[in-house]
Amino acid sequence: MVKTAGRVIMYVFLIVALILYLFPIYLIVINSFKPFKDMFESCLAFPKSLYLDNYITAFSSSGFIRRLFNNIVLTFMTVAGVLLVTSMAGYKLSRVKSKLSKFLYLLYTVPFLIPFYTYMIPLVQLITKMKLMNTLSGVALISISSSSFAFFMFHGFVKTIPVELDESARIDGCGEFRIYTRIIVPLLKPIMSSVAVLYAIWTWNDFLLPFLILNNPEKQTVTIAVYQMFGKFGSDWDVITATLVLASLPMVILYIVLQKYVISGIVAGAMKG
Amino acid sequence: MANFALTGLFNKFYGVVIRKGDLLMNLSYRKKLKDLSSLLLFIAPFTVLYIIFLLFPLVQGAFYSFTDWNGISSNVRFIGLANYIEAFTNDKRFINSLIVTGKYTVATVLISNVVGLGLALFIENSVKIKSMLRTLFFVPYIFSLVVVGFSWKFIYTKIATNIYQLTNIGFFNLDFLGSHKIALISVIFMSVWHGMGYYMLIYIAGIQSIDQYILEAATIDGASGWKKFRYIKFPLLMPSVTICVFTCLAGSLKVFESIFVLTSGGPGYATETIAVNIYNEAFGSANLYGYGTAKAVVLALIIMVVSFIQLSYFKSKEVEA
Repeated sequence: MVKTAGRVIMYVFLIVALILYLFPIYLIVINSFKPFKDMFESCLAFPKSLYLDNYITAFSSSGFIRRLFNNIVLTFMTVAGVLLVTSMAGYKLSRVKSKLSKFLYLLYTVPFLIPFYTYMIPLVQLITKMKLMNTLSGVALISISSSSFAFFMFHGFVKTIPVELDESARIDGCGEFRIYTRIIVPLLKPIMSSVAVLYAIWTWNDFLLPFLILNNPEKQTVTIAVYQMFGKFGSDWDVITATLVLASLPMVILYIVLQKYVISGIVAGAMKG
Repeated sequence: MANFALTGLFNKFYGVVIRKGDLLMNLSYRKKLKDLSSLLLFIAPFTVLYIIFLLFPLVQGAFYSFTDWNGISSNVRFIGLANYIEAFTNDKRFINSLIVTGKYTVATVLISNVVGLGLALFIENSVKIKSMLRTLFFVPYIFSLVVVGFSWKFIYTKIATNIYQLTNIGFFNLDFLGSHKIALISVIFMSVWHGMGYYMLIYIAGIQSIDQYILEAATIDGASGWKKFRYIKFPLLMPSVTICVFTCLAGSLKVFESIFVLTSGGPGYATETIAVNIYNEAFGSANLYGYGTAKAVVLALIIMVVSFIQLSYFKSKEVEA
């Protein structure tokens, strides 16, 4: 009896905590559906009618669709690159035990500890010299180069795949690259999905790096649009809240659909680290 | 004869044992060479990108920290440790940012982990709605820090004032972003809100990996709820604590975007962390790239030392089940 009562109290407590925790999101969303004057009558009130003008303004504001498209392209390029490059490196470094592989393993931990601004200016110079300024591929290449988290995930996961699989394929005359594509990649699929979803979220949300590399409005991303919108619309919180919702919506949908990969990815990352 | 001696030397160097009179390369050596070449082939794409876009600019950045370079002129003068000495002796604003970062980091790491672990323990017990709670508490983490910064700016300024007008509750009339005393707390609150779900997830996974038999044995021995947590669950959760504190520590010391958007370091310099200080002073207005980079190197060293101490101390506390 006491135990059930305790249980009920705990459930109530958790649900109240959850509602409070998500309340800020609720506030942003409901206010984005209100005309400006209604907003400050009461921020807490539910919209009187379905008012979509804020979204229309935000969406039709110069180049929002363009930036949405850029973000999608950038996210795809980065995720594809990260998956290919780090799974190859993670696989081999996990298989070969030598001083060199130990050294490289240590070397790849550096991005966890070094803040981006330590090398951000020389990096911009380098990108300028390589004529990659204002290109999405430039941003993608930089993101891929520091994708150590993905490397460690693959490195850890390959350990759970028996070496005998590689060896028997080798005896059957299978080349190294075919072993990777035909045997390792199919087995890495679950962890690849997790890495892909996590990097999609991180790339989509990244701000400082695209902000530095992409000056041309034609090439910029949604996060930059959100940042600049504040200067453009001043304190027009009606349009701003709508933009905040629009910029986040794709990742919210992605998370809802693929949440099991997000969760298992974070858990695997923590356990292998 | 000379040829033979040379091969012998060669093989000795590579640690290959060769049978007397056997001039052919021996099989294990060939295998080693093949392994090495396939290793290089597989790591090449990642490693080449890593060297070009990370290591190379990093070394260059470290070099600039010893110069007075302004980022534009070709005139780069080597000035030794002058930038570092300047930062620690003359730059009160930088020292202030060290203190702000310290306060921010301690508070964020403590609150995120205590709340994250507490919530994980509760959620793990709520069998029926466990997966729903786990999914929803994580939601803030998927928003970009820029979005989070602006959202909280809206909440702290507009919504709070509005709630005060409606309810007259004094708390909502506080100047959340404008007061020197409160601004840092507001920033910390936002950061905890954004990141806590991530740590909660890792703690939930940690709790799930604890063997149920150990807890049952403790229950039979008459251990109370608190004792079970203090002497069984918590020690077994140490690996999760280590990784959560490590991630949170490095992230908090580097914090930039959310504060940059929410307060830009203000009011005054009340929320100016090291990263925001570097941006405002070196890359924002005055072009003191050499000096800014020196401060960034200091921050990198702080992160490395703190992480190293944290990891080795926490690892020593981990136990085997």
